[in-house]
Amino acid sequence: MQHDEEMVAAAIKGDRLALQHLLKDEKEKLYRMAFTYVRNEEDAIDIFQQTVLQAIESVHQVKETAYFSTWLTRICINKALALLKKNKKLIVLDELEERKAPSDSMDIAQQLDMEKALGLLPEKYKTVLMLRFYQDFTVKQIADFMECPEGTVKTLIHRGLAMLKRDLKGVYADEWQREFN
Amino acid sequence: MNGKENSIKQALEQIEVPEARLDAIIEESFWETAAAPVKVRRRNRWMPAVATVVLVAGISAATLSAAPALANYMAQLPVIGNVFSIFAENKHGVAAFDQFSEDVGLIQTSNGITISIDEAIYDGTKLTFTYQVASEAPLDNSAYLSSFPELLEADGPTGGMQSEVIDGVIAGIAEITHLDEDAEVVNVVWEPQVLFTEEKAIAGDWKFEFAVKQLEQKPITLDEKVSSDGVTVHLQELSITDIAVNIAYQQLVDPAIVEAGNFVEAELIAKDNLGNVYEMPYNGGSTPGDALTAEDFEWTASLRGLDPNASTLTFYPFGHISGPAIEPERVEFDALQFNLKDGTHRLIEDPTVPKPPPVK
Repeated sequence: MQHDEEMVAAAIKGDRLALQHLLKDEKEKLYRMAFTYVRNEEDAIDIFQQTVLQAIESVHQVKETAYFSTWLTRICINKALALLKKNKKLIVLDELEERKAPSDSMDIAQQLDMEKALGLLPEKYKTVLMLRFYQDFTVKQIADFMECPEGTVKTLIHRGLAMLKRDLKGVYADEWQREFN
Repeated sequence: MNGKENSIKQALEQIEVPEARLDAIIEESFWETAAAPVKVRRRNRWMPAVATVVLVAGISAATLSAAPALANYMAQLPVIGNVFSIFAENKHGVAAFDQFSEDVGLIQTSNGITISIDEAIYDGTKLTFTYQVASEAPLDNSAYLSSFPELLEADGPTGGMQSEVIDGVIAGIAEITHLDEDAEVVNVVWEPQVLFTEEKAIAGDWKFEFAVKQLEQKPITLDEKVSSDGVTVHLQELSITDIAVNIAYQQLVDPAIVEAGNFVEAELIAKDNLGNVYEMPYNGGSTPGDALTAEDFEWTASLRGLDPNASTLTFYPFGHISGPAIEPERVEFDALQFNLKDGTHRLIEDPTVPKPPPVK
């Protein structure tokens, strides 16, 4: 989300009203991202609250106004992952790689919608797909965000979409086409 | 698209967002962090004190004369009523604010934006002032002014602001909690930096500094303890100002309740002999260093808008014990009736706790 640069600058300088305004602008995205990780309202609200509190306490650390949204998103994702870890719900990446493909006898497409399918992905793929297709980050921004090479980001996007495609079968296509065709 | 296709963005946007709850969390979080370093617990009861209010007040003639263009503009505005009339708890509160608030009458113009500070009042618990912002062209409804005011006597910002644009003018109220019944005056510094609208941000050079005298206090020692279900409410002191009745009390909690991981919140509601019921929002609380348990909070709470014809006022303590492993339990206590005429008080056993007044 693009914010008014002066408002972000004011928030960084300690203008609490400006920060309040910015947080209200971002609340829907933050909550929905949190929800996608934890799949329940109470935990998502808990993550949102922790994100808001940390944002208030550390907004002065934002170096440049352009990084505000990225910085806020990072807080939210970190809080979500920390909660998942705490609750021992974190799916290890290797487990995902070994995850069995849906049974042919089961019409997963009819049972899973995109939002649920995304929620079932391992955290790395979930994160990268949300950043790319929900937050509209560029591959470079995601690479900076995740502190990994751009090639790795592309691989994660590719694999994540492939998993979604497998789980959803023919019910989605647009991200795939947008990204690679 | 074949109709069955969906996208990640569309899918996430279908997740229902509890907007009101998220807004409350944001606002509450600002209050919590603003109140540091005093240990202030999260209290939903804070919310009415900072609820959005709509304010319009006339600017005094003296103020307007300093800015003829603004005066012309302001003169065209409909005056809805006294500036405190919207946020005051009831008609008696309006009258009290109107009668006892100080005229501040400060006005500054920068970059075509004029800010005026109209009235202020401090009663030992909270400073309140009202302000207006106008430009020669009407402001749109998205307009608001940045930056919280601060008290020189406080550590950092400890308050909040609410405003609304009415007929092209921002009308706002600032409330700063500051518990200090010994302070004769408090000094306010407010340096707004930017006027924001959806379309633009107008930076300006405004700085207001003013002092507000504390209203006279009449502290009365109560020192009464009432107990129930392992919780004691120690009603310590009452102070009556021209605009509020403030009560200081402490909750004392059986350590066994706290050791089980539970929380306790004791509150008050009041009723006068005329049948008026008053909510008593908290002003904040802290745990003294020598407290037996972490739940032994000391609170102050305020009643505003007391009917001047009332002769007695009864305080009904009640509380809730809650925790991760139990259903919340309501606890009620004996009440304390205070005689407003002679300053005496007495306890009332097993009272019927009144229901809160209807929400405005």
